[in-house]
Parts: sequence; C-alpha cells; structure tokens
Amino acid sequence: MTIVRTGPAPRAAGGRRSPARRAMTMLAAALFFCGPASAFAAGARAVEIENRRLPEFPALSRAAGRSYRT
Amino acid sequence: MSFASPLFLWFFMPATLLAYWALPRRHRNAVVAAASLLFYTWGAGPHTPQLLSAIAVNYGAGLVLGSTRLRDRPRARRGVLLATAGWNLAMLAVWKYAGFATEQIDALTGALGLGDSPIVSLALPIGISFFTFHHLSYVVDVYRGSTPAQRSFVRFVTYIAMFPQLIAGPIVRYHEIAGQLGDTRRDRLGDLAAGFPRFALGLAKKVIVADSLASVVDAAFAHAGGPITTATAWLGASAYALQIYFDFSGYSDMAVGLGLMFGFRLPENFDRPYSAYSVTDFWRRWHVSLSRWFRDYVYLPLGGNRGGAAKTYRNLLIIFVLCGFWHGADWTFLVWGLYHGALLVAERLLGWDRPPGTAWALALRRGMTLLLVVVGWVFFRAESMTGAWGMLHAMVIWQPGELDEFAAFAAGHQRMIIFALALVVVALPASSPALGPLIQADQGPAAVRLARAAVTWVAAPYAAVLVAAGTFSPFLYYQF
Repeated sequence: MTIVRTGPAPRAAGGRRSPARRAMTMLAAALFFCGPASAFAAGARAVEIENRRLPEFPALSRAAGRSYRT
Repeated sequence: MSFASPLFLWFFMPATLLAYWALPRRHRNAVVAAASLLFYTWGAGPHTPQLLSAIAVNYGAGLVLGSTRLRDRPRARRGVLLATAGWNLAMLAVWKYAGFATEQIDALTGALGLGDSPIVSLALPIGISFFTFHHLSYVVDVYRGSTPAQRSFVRFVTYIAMFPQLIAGPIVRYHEIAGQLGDTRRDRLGDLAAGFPRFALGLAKKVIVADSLASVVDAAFAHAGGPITTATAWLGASAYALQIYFDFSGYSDMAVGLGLMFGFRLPENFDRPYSAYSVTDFWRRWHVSLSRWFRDYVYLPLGGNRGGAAKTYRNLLIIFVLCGFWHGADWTFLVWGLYHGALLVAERLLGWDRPPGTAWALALRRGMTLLLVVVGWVFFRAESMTGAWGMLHAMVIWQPGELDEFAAFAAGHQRMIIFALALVVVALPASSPALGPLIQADQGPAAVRLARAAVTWVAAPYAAVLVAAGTFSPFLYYQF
C-alpha cells in the first residue's frame, strides 16, 4: 500500500513576483478577460473592416467541438 | 465550449472569476463546481446525465469503500471496487467502443457470408475518456488507502468536473489534488497573477502556431489514400508533429494556468518531448499525466518490471495497446500504440533506454527519436490504415515531384516561417544555452524576461484578435 501525503496546496506560484509585476499581470488579465464584455456592456460595437464579415455572436448552438470558422 | 472561443474567454471566464472572488471562501469550491457543470452542459448538452450519473455512482462507491463497516471486510471492499471499476469501464466501452466493435463484427459476418449485422452508432460524450480515468483514480486511491474518501459532494464534483481539466486533462490522480480541495487558503492573488501568463502562452501556442499548421496538415493528409509525393508526405507528417504538440501542450498550458487562477496546481503534461533521447524518454515527457496514470493503475498492478524481462515486455505492450485504444476506437490508434510499445521493448533489449555517454551520440539519438515519433504520428493522424500506409510508402519510397497543389497552396510563406521556428523551438533541448533560460520561469537575463513578457502583452492579444475574427479550430484532443 502506498501512503501519499495530501497536505495543503504548496506556496503560491506567483509569490516571488514583485508587487509591481504582479499588479501589471493582474491588469493584463483583467483587460484580457473583462475588456471585451465590459466594452460591449458599455455600448461599444464592432464594425466591419473592409470586406471582412463579423463573426456571429456566441450562441448555445455553437458548443465544444464545433468550429467558429465562418 | 472551447478555451479558445469568444464565449469562454469573454463571457464565461469573467463571470466565473467575478463569482469566485466575490463570494466568501467557503463557497468557492461550489462556484468552481457549478461553473464546471455549466461548462460541460454547454458543450455536451444531452450527454450531461452520463457525467452526473458517473459522479453519483463513484461518489457513493467512495463512501462505501471508506466506511468503517467495511474496514475489516477485504472481500466486500474488493467487490465494491471491482463493481465500480467495471461500471466505469462499461460506460466507456459502450459510448466509445460499441460502434467500432459492431463494425468489426459486421465486417466479419460479411466476410463469412453470414449477412449484415447491426452497427451501433453513438455520439461520443465529450471528455468521457478523461472523467472515466479520474473516477477510476478516485476509487482505486480510496480502496488502497492512499487517501480518505471525499465526504463533501461539492468537493468531489469540483475534482471530477473542474472545467480546466474536464475535457482534455491533464489527468489528475486523486491523491495529487485531494489536499488542495479542502485548502481554504488556496485562493491567493499571487496564483491569479501566475496563472494568467501561463494561460496566455497556451492560447498563443494554440491559435498562432497550431492552427496555422492545421491547413498544411489537412491538405497533405487529404492525399494520403491516393498518389502523394515524398515532399508532401514529409511536410504533412512533420507539420502534424508540430501541430499536435502546440495544440495539446497549448491546451495543457491553458489548463494549468486556469487551474492556478482558481487556486489549483494541476500536474504538468509536457516536458519538451521532441528533445527526448529515446522513445522511453519521450513517454516521460509527452502527456505525462496519462503515462503516470497507466503506470500507477495498470502497469504496476500487472507486475511492472518485477517479473523478469519477458513479463516486463508483455506489460509494456499491454500498456501501449491500451494507451493507443484509449485515444480512439480505430485500428490506426491500436497500431500507433503497438508501434510505441514495440519501440520501448526494442530499446530495452538494445539498452537504448539509457542516455548515451557522448554529445554526438546524444544528438544522433535525439534525431532518431524525433524521426521515429514523426513516423508514429502518421498512424495517429491518418483517417484509415490505407491512408497511413500510403503516407508511409511515400515517405520511404521516393515519389518524385514537388508539393501537391493543395499542400503548396496551404504552405504559404507565413506558415512556413511559423513551421521553421516551431521546429527549432521544439527540437532544441531545454539544456541548450539559447533556449534554457527562455523556458524556465523567472530565470535568465533581462532580454529573455522581456521575451516572456512579450508573450503576455503581444502574442496573447494577437491570439485574441484571431479568436475574435473566428479563425481558430477546436482542440485536437477534444475528440478523445
């Protein structure tokens, strides 16, 4: 029988980062994940560039394993 | 729902992160569990009851195996384990292999002149291979006493359905994560800051590199059943080797990064596999979580290498045939597994599973290993054995001519630059002076740190633009 220790999670992987670097990374993450939805909620809408058609808005029918390729 | 989709990146993730950080710590497992079930339901739809029933059966079995009533009744415990494992494997067999099995029976009855037999056609529930292995890990770990049964249903659902690893791994053995499930201190801001760059790197690998190579691979393998030039065959095979690495390791980077953002340390899945010096070494570096699962729950219980050379070789072949079959119900996957198993046996016989002593021998062996792995990928990627043989024939026997028309069209200048850069990056060993500091976090000179930051600030936004423009494809490992 193998006994494996299952203690608490190890120390934070990002613990060694300086506060400034950590803040910058958090800002990048916030912009990346929340930027588009926030802009959409604020009324910003994408416009077509030249002849490039806009992709459709995400819908239930477009789930895992299906390509968004238009 | 794919990690590299607008829906996941800009709707699911912000909502889940906000809920996770806004609610008290004691509810955070519940947030992850609920979000994970929503994530699965969105993609799997009518197959969600299969996941839920598997969760219910294995949770119940864990409680029974961990109960004090059965502590002194080894036969009863063994019976519960075998029944639960059998149920899990039966689910996998029906949903994943019934179609293949009935096709073989139909072919056999047809060949014997007994007429047609019915063929079962079932849609594969997404992620079933992965969550079945998680369930098996859980019941075996509890049965062995490696870790106590999980009494909290929410924590159990969090382990099984945790969305970063639910669809395509890494395969987390229960004892690896049991301690983290109950750790209320795990949600640190530092984890969030560490997880995002890793996620961004994975997204860039997937969307910028893997998806760029997909059209080259598709164009080359589309000819595999018919006449194909040697140039096209080699381009297709080597581009696929890069595509599957950047696709799957990109997915794994995203999974590890997402796990960190929610306070979980998921196991690493890749360790520069294409710089391996042998196929044995390759399997220590490729899909590491799957190799460890097979080692712990199949290879060692079969006896591992304790029963002499013949039994060791037998066990290796069993493991790799199972590994091939786990990836898909088709002869191509079986042959791929058998091919790798046979190579491992051959390396043991020749003593090539150990690193060579000299630098030039090491470089030669690395090249040979990469070549053998690329040849193996032909079976893995081909639609049929006929296609695989056609491709291999063109790779070995010179078929004159330049690239086929479609492959030449797909292999544009930009893709060829990506192809060449990707090849250099993956083939260099981690110990090389040029690459070592770049891939080891928080090390190296300022210029190298700057290069890593560029991934976060330049490559990830570019990848996001590609995602928003709808030019990506699903992850390859979603089909398994």
